[in-house]
Amino acid sequence: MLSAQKRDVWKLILLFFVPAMFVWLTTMVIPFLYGIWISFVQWDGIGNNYEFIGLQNYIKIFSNAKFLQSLGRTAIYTIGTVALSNVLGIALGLLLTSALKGRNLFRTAIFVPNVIGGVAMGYIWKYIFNYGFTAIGISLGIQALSTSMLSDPTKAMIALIIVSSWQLSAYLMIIYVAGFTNVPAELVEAARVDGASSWSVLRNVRLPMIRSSLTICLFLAIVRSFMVFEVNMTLTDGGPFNTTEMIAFRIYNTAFVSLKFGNAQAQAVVLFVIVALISVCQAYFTSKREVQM
Amino acid sequence: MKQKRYAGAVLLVLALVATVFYLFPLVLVAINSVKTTGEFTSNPFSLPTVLQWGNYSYAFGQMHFLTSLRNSLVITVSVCVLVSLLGAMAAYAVSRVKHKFVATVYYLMLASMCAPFQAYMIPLVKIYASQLGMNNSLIPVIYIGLGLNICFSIFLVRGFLNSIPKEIDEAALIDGCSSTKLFFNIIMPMLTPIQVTLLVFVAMGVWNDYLLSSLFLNTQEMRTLPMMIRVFCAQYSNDYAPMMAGLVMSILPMLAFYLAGQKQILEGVVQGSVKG
Repeated sequence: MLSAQKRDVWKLILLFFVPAMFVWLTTMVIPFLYGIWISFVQWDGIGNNYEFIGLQNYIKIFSNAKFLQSLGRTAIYTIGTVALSNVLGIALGLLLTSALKGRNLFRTAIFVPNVIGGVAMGYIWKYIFNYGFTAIGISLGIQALSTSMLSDPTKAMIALIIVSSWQLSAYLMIIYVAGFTNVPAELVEAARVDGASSWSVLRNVRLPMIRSSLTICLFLAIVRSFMVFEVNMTLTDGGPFNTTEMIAFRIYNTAFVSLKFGNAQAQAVVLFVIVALISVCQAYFTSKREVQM
Repeated sequence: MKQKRYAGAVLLVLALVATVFYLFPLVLVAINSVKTTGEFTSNPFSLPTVLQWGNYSYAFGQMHFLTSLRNSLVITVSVCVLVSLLGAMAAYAVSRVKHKFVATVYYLMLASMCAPFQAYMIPLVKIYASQLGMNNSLIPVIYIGLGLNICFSIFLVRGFLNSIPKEIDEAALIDGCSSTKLFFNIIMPMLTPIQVTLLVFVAMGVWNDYLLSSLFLNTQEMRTLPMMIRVFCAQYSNDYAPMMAGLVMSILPMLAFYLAGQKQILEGVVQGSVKG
């Protein structure tokens, strides 16, 4: 009986688990380890003439001002996007869990930006910045709007933050709606009866109660922003003058435009370390909160 | 009473303003897709004088829309079928087998979900395109797409499986049912709700993917819709009206899919967010 059961366990493992594990190993684990090796070689991508150069790639990228600038502006972009998308997401979450008629219809409509892929979204907004907003600026005589935001480095960064937040906030809204829906109504009612103002109820009751949604949304926004790629490529193409080239887009360009694969892979490993650290922080915050509760 | 009605009106106005903010870019593109390029550049907010449906037929031909649509469909459907099958099978093993090996690999799989795609993008190209010679083929795109979604699938289905009582398994096994039969005939049908949630979510991601497909596909016959949009918008950079038409056409399939499965998609967003 025991041996038959044991045989069954291995049958389940081999037949059911190993296929998925094989796919995982060959698409993620092996390429990842291979990637660490690639970051130690000099390789132009064509043929097999690579040369082991140790930490040279890492030394090169960290002494390259452009790489550090790209990391820095990715951090700025991330801060902007995380803040804007979460503020909008919470506002929408509150609005769409309030006593509003047709809430579900509004939720459905507002989520639509997430159905569109990054490539199409970037182009759509490019036309709006280049022609829509400039048309408004010219007809109303507003100087700041009459030239395209995308042709000025600072404004192009703001444009990128706006577009990303436009999409991301609608995504976060769904998570916040779920969070606010789970806040017990009696709790809010009790605070109201005690004479708390709407603002005080929000700050002292509702927001603390959705802390897990808040953690999820903050980290989701941080990780997504740090890995931004498609919108970066189609909306600004890294321009003007490379001033909006974020780290993921830079890795892509270093590898597939400049064909410096070893160098690009070293940058990718740095991006990995950053994202991994963020995830460790998230795990820490999540477990800490669970202990408290 | 009066105050309540007033508050309701304010909420409605706020919701309408928000909806306009989230939808106006799409509406604007749709309106301009039936105008001439001249009308668009002179005033993007004007309504079309004559509906220029020709933009659509022009974009349809220039984009090789049907070819791209077919490629996108083949990739998305294949990934979805494979993910739901292999993911559910592995999730079943994780949920039912108490073995150190399975538990360890499962936790490593969860941890690997946070790795950015860029970390293994270059080696993937090196391995699949150069060493295995699968350049310009849908196969590596499907296979890697499967790999990128398999861990999430196992995670999601496992959670659902844990809520299915093990007594069902035991009863079937005592009746002489083999574990394979048990899974495919009894467990798999019970997974339908979570599979639907998973698949609409995966389908959206795969359908809209640009980066992975662009690494392996390079001829016009192989391009997916997002790749086609990229090529089309870069090539016809001054002919805006057909471009808008192309953008609308590329969005429509996914929009229709969303409107049909919105409940599951929004459910998938909530479930997917807790994966961390």
